[in-house]
Amino acid sequence: MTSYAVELKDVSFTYWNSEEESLKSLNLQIPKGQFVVITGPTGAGKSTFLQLLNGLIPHQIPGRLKGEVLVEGYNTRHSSVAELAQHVGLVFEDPDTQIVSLAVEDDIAFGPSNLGLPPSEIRARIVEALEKTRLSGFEQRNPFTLSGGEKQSLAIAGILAMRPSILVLDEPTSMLDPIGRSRIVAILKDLSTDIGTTIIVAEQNPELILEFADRVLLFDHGQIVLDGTPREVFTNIPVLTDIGVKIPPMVETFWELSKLGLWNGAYPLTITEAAHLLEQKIKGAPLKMPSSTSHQASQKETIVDVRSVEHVYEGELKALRGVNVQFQRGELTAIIGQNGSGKSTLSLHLVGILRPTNPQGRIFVAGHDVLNIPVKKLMRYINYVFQNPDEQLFMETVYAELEYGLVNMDLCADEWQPRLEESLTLFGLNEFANLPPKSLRRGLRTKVAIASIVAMQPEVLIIDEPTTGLDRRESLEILRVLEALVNNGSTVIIITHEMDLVAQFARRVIVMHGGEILMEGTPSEIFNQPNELHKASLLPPEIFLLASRLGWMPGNNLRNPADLAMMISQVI
Amino acid sequence: MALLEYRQRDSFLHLLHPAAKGIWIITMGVVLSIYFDPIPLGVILLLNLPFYFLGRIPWKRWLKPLGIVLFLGMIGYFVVSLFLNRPGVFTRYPDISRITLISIASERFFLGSMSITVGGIMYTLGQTIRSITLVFMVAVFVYSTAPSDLVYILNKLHIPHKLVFIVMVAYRFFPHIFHKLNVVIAAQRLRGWELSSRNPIKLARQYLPIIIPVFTEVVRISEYTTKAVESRAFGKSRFVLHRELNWGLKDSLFSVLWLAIAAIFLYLYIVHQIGVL
Repeated sequence: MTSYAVELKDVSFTYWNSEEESLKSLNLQIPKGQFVVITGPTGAGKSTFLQLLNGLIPHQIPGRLKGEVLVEGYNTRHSSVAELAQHVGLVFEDPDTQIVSLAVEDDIAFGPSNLGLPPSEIRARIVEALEKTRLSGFEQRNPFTLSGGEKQSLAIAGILAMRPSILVLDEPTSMLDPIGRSRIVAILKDLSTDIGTTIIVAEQNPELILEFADRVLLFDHGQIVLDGTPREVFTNIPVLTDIGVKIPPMVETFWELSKLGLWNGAYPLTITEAAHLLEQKIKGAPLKMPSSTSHQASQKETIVDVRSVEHVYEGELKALRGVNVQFQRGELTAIIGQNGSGKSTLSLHLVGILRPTNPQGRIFVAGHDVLNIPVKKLMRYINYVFQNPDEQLFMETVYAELEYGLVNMDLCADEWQPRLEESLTLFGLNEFANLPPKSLRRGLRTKVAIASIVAMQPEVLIIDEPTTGLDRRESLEILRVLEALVNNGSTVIIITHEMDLVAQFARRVIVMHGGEILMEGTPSEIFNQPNELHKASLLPPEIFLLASRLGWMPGNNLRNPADLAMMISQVI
Repeated sequence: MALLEYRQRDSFLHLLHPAAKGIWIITMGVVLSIYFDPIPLGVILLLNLPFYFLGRIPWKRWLKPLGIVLFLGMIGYFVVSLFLNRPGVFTRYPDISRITLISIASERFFLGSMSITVGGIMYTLGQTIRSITLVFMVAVFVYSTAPSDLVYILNKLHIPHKLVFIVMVAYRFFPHIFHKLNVVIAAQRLRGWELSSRNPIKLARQYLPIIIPVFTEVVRISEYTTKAVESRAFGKSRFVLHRELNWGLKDSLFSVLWLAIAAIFLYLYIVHQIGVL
């Protein structure tokens, strides 16, 4: 018997439709029972690596595989996916595509039923998987009615019911809202205590699971560039910066302190560690609030005015409950809240796709009554980019994709061509202009989708989850372009779950909960009220949590770890 | 979209075994397929009526769309009935085709003569009552039967599991794809998409901004779902059902009731020609 759960011997893989190797000469051993986090930018080879482990590569996904992949001693080349399924369970990123049954318990039973186990054994496994994934009581529910976090829990339950000794999860939280993420993190934490189960998780933002990980593998360009404990990997700032992986906020804060010559010790990974170190450092020093710039409410023109809007879906769900809110011209506003809190419903009202279901509800955009203007005319004043770029892209080239909306605006070529060129340049898409959008990676497709709307030059641009599925570098690139648009006078509204990006880029934050506006204000006004945020099941960014642990109420000068380091430097 | 969608409740019909409800649908379907006389058809509708309410279906939401479908159907039946004015159309009541209420077109009209007759009205009424009975019965069945129970029944009938799986996946992903379709239409409307041509070829081309993204999503779903089910040992062994649906006394009584009702109506039809116009 091998002592390794997974062993790779000089493994390379090239997809059938690609010239370049997606994995390059990997040599790796993962001992049984280890909790391994795989991280790296998009396209680094994380998903390809995970699909090697249960034999999807090479049995299901065609390509050229070199070397040997041994899972619990079985060579995946000589074992079918179905045989390997009893040893390796793979949970995918999108829960919607892996739930196939019409009731929760039937979906959990799907794997064991395929293995031909006795009904009594299947029922026992259902109960066990339901308990481990906190889904007890959901047995008869239709999966379509579950929340994102519950669906992903169900996907994990379906795999756990097969009792694999290796559990592999491919970015299980990337499509979830904060409450869904917390749910999955809690499940992973429980599973990490299961002796003997090897857990391998790919994550773009792994700070949530670092505390119970044994080992981190950092992938880039199909290779493992760092392999070590979470502390070893996530404190190697030169490599993380070079690759463009998100540095944990606490590490980044202390790195900034070290650049100021105020820190030369080990970097903390968690808020607790950071608070402990700082409390020691500032012991005896007056723990006063560092100076900060207070928010000066600038008098700006209201460009979007929402009055008493209610919306009821299909006579049942009240998605908006008398919403009153204004958006100011030339601001980047973030709307935050859980899935189902009404963010998208409100935004779709602003662009005329949805209409209030109460007669009193009114919406004005740039002085125009949205209810009395057709969408085709309204799109010149306000427009919306949906979360998934693939719901929009259909043309043969990027250029044609940008041209489509402009031509539909009945502009002549002299008018639309400069707009198109400007938008291509703004998003760095010139070199891809003649390529099919579908052939581009997710980050570029998102840019094309946004660029096609930006080219139409609406006064207000709404973007739903602009960073979903993107790595840190791509996310920052897009937010910086949006910031540039705002600096040029545009109004941008983003819907997002990424609190650190909200803190860094938004000038105003609207918190929605249960179809109502729970809070609105500047990022610091919002994030300094963790108890109120908790009502919407949201958490402030880590930099605000650390400031709070130190007893500070930071102002609008706290936007990122560098700002926090600067504030700390004033008291130590 | 919510029309004909299963909702979990604990109504009498929801708690019945799907096979018992299947017996109800099949027996009444057979009777309805041979009856044309609106009077016995009305009796059948009245017999079924209490069971529509026992399903606790949301009538307010259902009546409008079902009403539209039935109204359009009634118009269709009425148009057909205009031509049922020749002798020999009705066998049990041969004279009713001759009692003309309004004459619309003469024999020289290229479609033949058209008139509103008592026979035609009886035919329209019968077909409408038959449609109401059947459509409501199927709607109540779908509303009160969990899709997972339907899949269970298909498995029990020894239909190959791969076929059952196709049905299950179609049922599972239909709402998802319908939702995607709405999102894609909204996304393209915001880029100025609209249907502006009456030329069918141009119209088909104008649908491309909708069809391509939806098709892409369908391909993505099938690709990932294939990977997911392969990863869960699909096809490795004979598929085992993990639960049994219990057949109780109420299921037996319900089935016997409808078998008896169907037997009576079949007897009346065969022996006494009741139900024939």
